[in-house]
Amino acid sequence: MKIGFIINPFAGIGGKVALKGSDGEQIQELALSLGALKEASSKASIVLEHVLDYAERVHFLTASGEMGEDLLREMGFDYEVVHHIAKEKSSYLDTVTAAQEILGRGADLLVFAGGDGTARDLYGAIRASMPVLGIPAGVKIHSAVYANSLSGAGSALAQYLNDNAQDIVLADVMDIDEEMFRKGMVVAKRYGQMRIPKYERFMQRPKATSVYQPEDLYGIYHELQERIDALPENTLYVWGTGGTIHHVMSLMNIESSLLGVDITERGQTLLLDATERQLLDFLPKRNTKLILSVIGGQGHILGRGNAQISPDVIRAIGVDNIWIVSTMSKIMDLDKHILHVDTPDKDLNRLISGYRRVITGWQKELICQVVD
Amino acid sequence: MGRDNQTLLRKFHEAKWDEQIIYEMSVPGERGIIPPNADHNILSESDLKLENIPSSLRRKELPNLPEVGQMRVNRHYMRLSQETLGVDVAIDIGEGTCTMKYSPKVQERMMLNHKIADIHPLQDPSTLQGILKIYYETERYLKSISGMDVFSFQPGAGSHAVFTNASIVRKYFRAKEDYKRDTIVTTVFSHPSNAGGPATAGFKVVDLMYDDELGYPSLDAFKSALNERTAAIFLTNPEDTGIFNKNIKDYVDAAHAVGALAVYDQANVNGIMGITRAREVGFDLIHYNLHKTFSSPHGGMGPGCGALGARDYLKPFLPVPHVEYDGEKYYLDYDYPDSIGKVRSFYGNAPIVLRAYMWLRSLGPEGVREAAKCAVLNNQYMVNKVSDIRGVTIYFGKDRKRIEQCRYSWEQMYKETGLGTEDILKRMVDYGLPHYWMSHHPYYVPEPFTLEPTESFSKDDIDEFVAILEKMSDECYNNPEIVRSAPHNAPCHGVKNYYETEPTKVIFSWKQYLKDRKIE
Repeated sequence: MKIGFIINPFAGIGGKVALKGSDGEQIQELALSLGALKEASSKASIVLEHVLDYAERVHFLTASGEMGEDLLREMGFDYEVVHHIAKEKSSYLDTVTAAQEILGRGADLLVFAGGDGTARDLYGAIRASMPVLGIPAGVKIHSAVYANSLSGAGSALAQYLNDNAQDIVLADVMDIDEEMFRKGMVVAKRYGQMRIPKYERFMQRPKATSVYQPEDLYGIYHELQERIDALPENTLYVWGTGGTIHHVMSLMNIESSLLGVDITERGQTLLLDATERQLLDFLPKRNTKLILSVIGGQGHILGRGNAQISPDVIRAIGVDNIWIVSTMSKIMDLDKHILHVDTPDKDLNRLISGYRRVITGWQKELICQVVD
Repeated sequence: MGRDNQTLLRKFHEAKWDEQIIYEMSVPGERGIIPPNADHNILSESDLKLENIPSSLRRKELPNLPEVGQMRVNRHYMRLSQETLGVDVAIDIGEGTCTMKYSPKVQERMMLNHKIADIHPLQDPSTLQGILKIYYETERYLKSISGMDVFSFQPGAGSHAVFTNASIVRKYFRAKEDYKRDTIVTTVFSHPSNAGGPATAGFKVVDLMYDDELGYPSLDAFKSALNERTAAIFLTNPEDTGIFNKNIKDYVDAAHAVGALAVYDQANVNGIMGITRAREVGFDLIHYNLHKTFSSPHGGMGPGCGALGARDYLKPFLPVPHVEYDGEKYYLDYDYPDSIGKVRSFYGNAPIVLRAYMWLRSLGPEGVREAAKCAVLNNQYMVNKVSDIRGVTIYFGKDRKRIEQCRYSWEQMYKETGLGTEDILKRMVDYGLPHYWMSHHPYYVPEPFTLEPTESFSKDDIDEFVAILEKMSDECYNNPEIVRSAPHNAPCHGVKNYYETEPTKVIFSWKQYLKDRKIE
């Protein structure tokens, strides 16, 4: 069986440095300069481990180097390089050309590792001409062409090699405009449809364009609103970064930046996307609450993507004035359900660590261990 | 013929009748019963004439009932009953946390006796001495098993009892003019009602995750949740995992140290009844599900009885009425000025109390303890056998004993084959097993299933059940298509779990069905 195999080596690198996406060379360079690591290949290897037993059934068609060749060689699969990366660094054009080559050589299925941007590139290249199976390796995974997890992708591929997928269905290629997203606006869009094997339980749910359960966020919103209403009007609120907080603030009709730290008072935004200096200028002599969310998958509340909230800022606000918010599902996905604090100040980290309350809904808290 | 003594598997095929919905069987004018006209004397003296009912209360048109004769009705329901599987025809070990023990049929016979079936709670208590005595005596036995000082049988279910307990906690602190206690503490593996009941009663909920080694929260984590706002802790023990927290007293003491009450969810006390008592541990309030541990057929949402036990200092807050005995007669005591009021009409589901009474009388103190020991022994045997099945994992508290039930996981098999707990659930019908209980939501254990063999099932029953699980695991690894397309030997195939995934697609009534399908 001929299977196409493409890794977008840059998939996902924007995530850990809070860029919320990895599309475009400038962003990729920025991410790398911020210390991001390429992980798409290791994610793809987890998937391929599921089919090691069926290696003799597969002949992979792939692109050179880190776009597939390296990994397949390392894992001992039978493969053929159908596209050579021209430049030192691959670009979306390599993805497009490789996919067209794979299609032209009559592959049965195209397996690719990437995010929504990669899916869009592939859609542009081959449309719905052949079945595809996406390995979720990107920052944004809204498209239904992706498996619901790495093990899901592995199981789907293993099943495909066994039953050759009788049922092929159309699935949405979705993406949000990353440029708009970085400016704090979430605009989801359907770009088209590609064909996937009908393995419902392994694939991303068709309508899963939002990673939040609305009822979870409503609960957090109502809880925060009640707490705010109970405090003196002149209390200052410093809102951390991330989607949870951004969505909660929009439910409160408060203007907010998606990835920045915002300061509000009496339901009004005083400062969007504040720097550390600005925060320190605002804080003295005021009762302040700091609202932090949890980074999905990693569990960091401080020390990742919110450097503005520096140790000095935290000390000025006071550790007891921190409210941590998270959906329950996000905490369940964390390793051992542990939260992490990783500011440059070790003493402060120690002070924050221990058992802390996390707001998970209206009148609902969960005790979580915070580890430094 | 019969079961294969080597494999312990049997050839099974469920009955298939393609039975219509009873509305589709309706023939205009057909009648099951033609009631006689009322007696002339009644007609002449009664005010209950149609024209005496205000027109606003009268139907504009006749109700849309199916018109079917008795014989066809009987046949209809007999066929439907053949198309179901349940504890009376199958080995129903799968309903972990539900305690599906065998409920002796003699209890049903007694319940249908006219002396029970025909009495009414509004009768004068002097004419209800028998059932009141049964209430009084059953309470006496439960007090002995739990060490609590008083019981109320009014709550109609376990969750209802949890809510009632939360209401008592609220009233207790109000009576003390302590208004700041607005929070309860529970754990994620306690029954979800331990969070839901108090939340319904107006409390904020603080939840605790489990420690991977212990299987329940560490004492340190637990203490960090307690403060001067804590009204009560609501704990289940053993929890859903089947792990018993033997240091439970330390947790109760920690709650008492901050002035909180301790509430014990003992809905399923099947592994520890007669062995450890709530009183010695220090709990202030508890509840037993009489319809689980104390033997009543249950499922299908009732009827049940969440027998609520309290220490004497909480007695004034109990729901009314309470059955008392003055040395000569049994009576209903409404004199509880601090009562939270009624949580249900009259004094609870009497048939459930009667069954529990009969069950306890037939076993006696030693029998109750023996039942718990058997339930635990059965489960130890089962855990050992099931954990050897390919693809099964037991998470948390790795080497800790499970008491009366155990939550298992098919995650490993799912990763290796793409087939998990829902696939097994569909396939097991082909082997004559009705169902197993996966888990409360959310799934802290991936691909979960929860088994509880109780004391009722024999070693042979457990062996057959395990053999079927083994067979299905083997199929997932070596013949996955047969599992994927299951069930094959049941009247329905390929049923999608819409209720879980798309509640908007569930149709609850014939009227709604007609509307949905645009049938005139």
